[in-house]
Amino acid sequence: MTDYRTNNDGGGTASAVPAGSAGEANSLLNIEGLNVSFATPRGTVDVVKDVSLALAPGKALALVGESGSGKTVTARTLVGLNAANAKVNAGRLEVLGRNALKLGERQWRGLRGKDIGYVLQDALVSLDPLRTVGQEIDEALRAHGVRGKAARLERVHQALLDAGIPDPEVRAKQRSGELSGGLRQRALIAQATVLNPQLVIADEPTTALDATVQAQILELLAGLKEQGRGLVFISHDLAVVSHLADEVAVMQGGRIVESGRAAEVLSNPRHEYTRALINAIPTGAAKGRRLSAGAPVSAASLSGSPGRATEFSETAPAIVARDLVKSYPGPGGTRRTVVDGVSFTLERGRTLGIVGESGSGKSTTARIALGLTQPDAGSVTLGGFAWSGTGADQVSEEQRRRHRPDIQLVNQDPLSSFDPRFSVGRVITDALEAGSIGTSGDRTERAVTLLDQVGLPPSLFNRRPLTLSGGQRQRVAIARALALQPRVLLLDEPVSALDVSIQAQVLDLLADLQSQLGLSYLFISHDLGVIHHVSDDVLVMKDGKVVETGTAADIFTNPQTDYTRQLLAAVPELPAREPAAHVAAAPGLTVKEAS
Amino acid sequence: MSVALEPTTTRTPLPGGGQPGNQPDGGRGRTRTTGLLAAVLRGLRGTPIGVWIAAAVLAFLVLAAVVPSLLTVKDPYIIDPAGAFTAPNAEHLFGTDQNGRDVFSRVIAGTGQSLLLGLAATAIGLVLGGLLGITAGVSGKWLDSAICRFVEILFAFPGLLLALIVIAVSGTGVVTAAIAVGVGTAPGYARMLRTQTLQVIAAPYVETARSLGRSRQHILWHTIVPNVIRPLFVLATLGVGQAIVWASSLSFLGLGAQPPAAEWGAMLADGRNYIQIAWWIAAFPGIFITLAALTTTVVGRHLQQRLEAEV
Amino acid sequence: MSTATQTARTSHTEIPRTTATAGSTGQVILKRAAGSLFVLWAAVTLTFFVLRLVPGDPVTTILGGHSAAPSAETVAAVEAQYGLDQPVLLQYVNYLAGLATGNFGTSYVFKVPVLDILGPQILPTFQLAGLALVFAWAIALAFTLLTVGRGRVLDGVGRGIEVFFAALPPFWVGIMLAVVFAVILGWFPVAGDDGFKSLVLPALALGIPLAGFIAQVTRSSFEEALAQPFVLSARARGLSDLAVRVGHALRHAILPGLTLSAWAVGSLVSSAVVAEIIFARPGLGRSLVDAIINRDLPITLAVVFIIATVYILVNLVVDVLYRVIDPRTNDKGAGA
Repeated sequence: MTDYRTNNDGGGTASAVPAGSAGEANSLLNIEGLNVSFATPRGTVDVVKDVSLALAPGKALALVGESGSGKTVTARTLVGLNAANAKVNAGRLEVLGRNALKLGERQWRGLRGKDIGYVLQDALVSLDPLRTVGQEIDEALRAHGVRGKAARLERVHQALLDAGIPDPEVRAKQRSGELSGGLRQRALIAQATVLNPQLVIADEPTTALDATVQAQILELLAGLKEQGRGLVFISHDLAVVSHLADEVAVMQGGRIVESGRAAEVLSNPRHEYTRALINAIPTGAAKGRRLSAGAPVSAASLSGSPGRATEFSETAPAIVARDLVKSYPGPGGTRRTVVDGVSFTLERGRTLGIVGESGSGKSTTARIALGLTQPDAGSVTLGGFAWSGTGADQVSEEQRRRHRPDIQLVNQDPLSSFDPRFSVGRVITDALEAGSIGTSGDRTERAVTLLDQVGLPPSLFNRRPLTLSGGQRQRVAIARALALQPRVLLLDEPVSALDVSIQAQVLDLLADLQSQLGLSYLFISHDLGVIHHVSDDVLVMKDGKVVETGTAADIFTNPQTDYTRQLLAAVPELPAREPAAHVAAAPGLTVKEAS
Repeated sequence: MSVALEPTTTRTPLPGGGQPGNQPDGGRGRTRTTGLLAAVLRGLRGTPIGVWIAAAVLAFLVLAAVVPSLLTVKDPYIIDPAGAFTAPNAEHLFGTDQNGRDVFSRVIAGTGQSLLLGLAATAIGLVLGGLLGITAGVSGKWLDSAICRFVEILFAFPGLLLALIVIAVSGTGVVTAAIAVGVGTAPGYARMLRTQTLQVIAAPYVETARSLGRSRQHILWHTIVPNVIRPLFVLATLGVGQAIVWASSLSFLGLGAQPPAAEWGAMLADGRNYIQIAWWIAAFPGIFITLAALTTTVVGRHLQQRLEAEV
Repeated sequence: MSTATQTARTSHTEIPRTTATAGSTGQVILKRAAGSLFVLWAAVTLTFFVLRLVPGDPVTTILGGHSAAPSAETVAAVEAQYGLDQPVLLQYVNYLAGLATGNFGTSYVFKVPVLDILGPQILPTFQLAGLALVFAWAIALAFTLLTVGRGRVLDGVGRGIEVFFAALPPFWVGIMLAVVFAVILGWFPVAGDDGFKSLVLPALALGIPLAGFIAQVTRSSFEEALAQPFVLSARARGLSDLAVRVGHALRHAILPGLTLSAWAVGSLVSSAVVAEIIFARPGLGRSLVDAIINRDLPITLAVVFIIATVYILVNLVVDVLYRVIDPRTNDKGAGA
């Protein structure tokens, strides 16, 4: 069992208690000098260091940080759910007025679910996929001795209703896999709050949700707060934080580096790390601005290499896609149209952003543009030559193959795109070999140059991609794409899996490469902020169709369709940096969409 | 520290972070040493003691198989009626059997045959299964479903049944036993390798090879096949143990190696008749079958985990 | 969370996966039943023709071996009696027609209808295989519930014993059990087929190694299930560790083991032969091995037919059970 222990010397150094909350008589949380470490075979790892927190009823406290900052471990300590090898000590660890350092497992169980609700990320895996959501909610009631089957069923339905789920009788009999993302997340909240806990802890409650659904869930969480409960939530998304939190604690490397009133911290950050985090957020206002503090990379080293022979036109647009249609067989002989009449033009040297929620058909469109998926109808030209199509426009894979170097892909998960047998160097020399670029003798040298170009040291040459960080892997993927001297890069959610500071660096790198190599980008993302930051032109997709297209400025400042407006409104934005410009109300959080 | 610096050190997965309930020792922070020697050292350091013991026992068995004379000087076939049923003692470590033959030398002499039987059977199973499975995996709809159906039919001969049918057709003997066990395990390997092939084909790196402009043939032989075959060695190590048990089962039933051959299964069958007066005749061959199966499984399992950690 | 992939990865013996088909339960069972009939027919056909390859003339076998030196008339008479004078294809059609009416032909060695020989053997073998499976599951579940995630020591011990069990040769286990519990302690009979008591030791001999396999597969999926976020959610609801294990993780964990069991039952029937020989029990496995040694093709063919039928039936049952435990298969079909 987790070892909880009082630490007397840690208490005095409490430095980050949010102002105005500490020591209040009715506080839900009162924590000073919390340390959590894990005993591993390789020694003790300190994960949370000297953390102090406080929370009053009706308030929301946000723990903000990037992966590995210790925010999840901190949150789990508050429910007594850390791994068995965790060691917890603190000067003071009061949860709901009780000394949590002295709570046994049985007492913790009495609190969990009843007085403290815990909501995880992604209900698809956070609710038992084999059981109905009704059973899951009922389980909380039974665990806390609520008697009477009919009475419990009544409360299950009420809890679903309270979480904003219509038709609770129907929904209670469904499993999480049968619900849409929004309903699923609501059900997850319902099972954590059915017993009306005073304290609700939510770990990344809106991550992985589409923007419109995210807005609804934020509204639901805000409602909990208004009912007088205390809310502790974890997020890596500062915009989300700005809309929900009263207090914020920014964590880095297990410590709280800055904390205070949310409006204060976000609009007037004092700590360098907080400032960098806020800077790193791609938004329209940040367009053209560098997101990270690193120096621009230099492509000078590459200019000396001889260009690859290509038929890529210097006058035609990089990609012209006309009336693309693609459908797949659905259940019962039906066909599901995934891409439905999509047309777009990617001009040379520019970035076309394709934005849409999950299932909008943007990835299939990308695959057609890459010539990996054959469309049912429509055609694609690449740099002026026929690239893909049907009927008269049909292009065989053999014809396409010699043009393939002209368009290269960078996707969300670079690791899976590397042959597992290959080292970093081999990944790149293999690409060079595929494009018959260089001689077998000088490919190593070229590969090192390419690594340098994406900001990676030569020492990584013999490393296995598995041992690299996420950002490094994405750089290797970019280097491999560049190895073939392409004219177009297809970037499919290239930064979605990265922490915001790493995302900033990769976006800056991509911007540098574009300006120096004259590349054209087809940039696909669900993240409107990223799309706004990188795009010259934008294509908004929904259910396989193009909803709206135009320049980035037009789309973001003057959207023409309801859907785009909804989409934009659903994106929580950070308050402007000047404190005066901060508006207390959360605009756009009222969007409703049937989920 | 500035966030602008992307961490150049490997990010160690954090305890309790990410997947709920995971343990810090689950995600091993990798050291950055490069080079073969370092890689070997790194591998050795993480090897549990149980695997060490298994590897040592396996090494002993291999030694017994390759140079039995190093471990025993007694002839496993010399009959000495006067010295029959001697309990284990200093001279006869494992005692003697009903004919006064030294059980220890017989067990050691049988090691070569038993291991060879296991290896041969596994090789046959892997080659047959590999041909079926990989062909099915890379072929189009028609051939794939034809092979799948065929393998499904073979599965209707579960356990020893397929091996027994092979023996029914080709008669008893050591060679037949190896073929029989090989054929018996082939459907399993076929299915496994088909799944493996399909997984590799669906992997994004195969698509990447395509978008790099590689030809179909090149992708098949330079990307798909090597990646499908990569875990075969481990699969073989894991399979040998079971193949040894199966092959000795056949010998035990009188369908494989025939007495007086010093083969573990045959010795066991022999010793079974005297189990009430001389337990050691049957006990020791059985212990060695178990040891062979156990050690290959433990070592193979360890290699498998290492390989999976790399994928 | 593909259980099929999981199964392929965690076990090294051949484990067929249940191929879940889309559609309502009724439709699916019908579809599967049709597929099963095809497999059964194909298995019988394959065996029928493969056994034609057996060297030697069946007539020699029928007449008692090479020493019999029968006259030409005797040979002709026997050929006519057993239908061996007809073309192979016709023999095949006749055999299938016989099967349809429950006629498995006449034993070459015993000269009586095959069913007369095999009939009394069927029940003892099924009892043995059934009890072995029960033992195997009991041992496997006890190990997973008691040792998974209960600290490094217990976990390691559980893991070690499972690998050890899986490596044990059933025939050796049988002999050792017989020595210890029948000969030395006298708790169980040494041999024979005399009620439940005589069934225990042979069933353990077959069940212990199988328990090792099932436990290994179940353990890894149990570990996987315990690491899932929904388990954390359940604990955060205030559930006890045991409630989480039994109520949530176990249901996920037994799915691959269930698939393995379908294969195991068929395998047990043929592997039962070693236990049947050691404990001098009647049974199908023993009849099969005797028939193979004596080249009694009709009996060999009949046993193959019975085992294939059992395997296919058990697979159908497991398919239905799988759907009960994992209702997701009904929604999406291939997503098992």
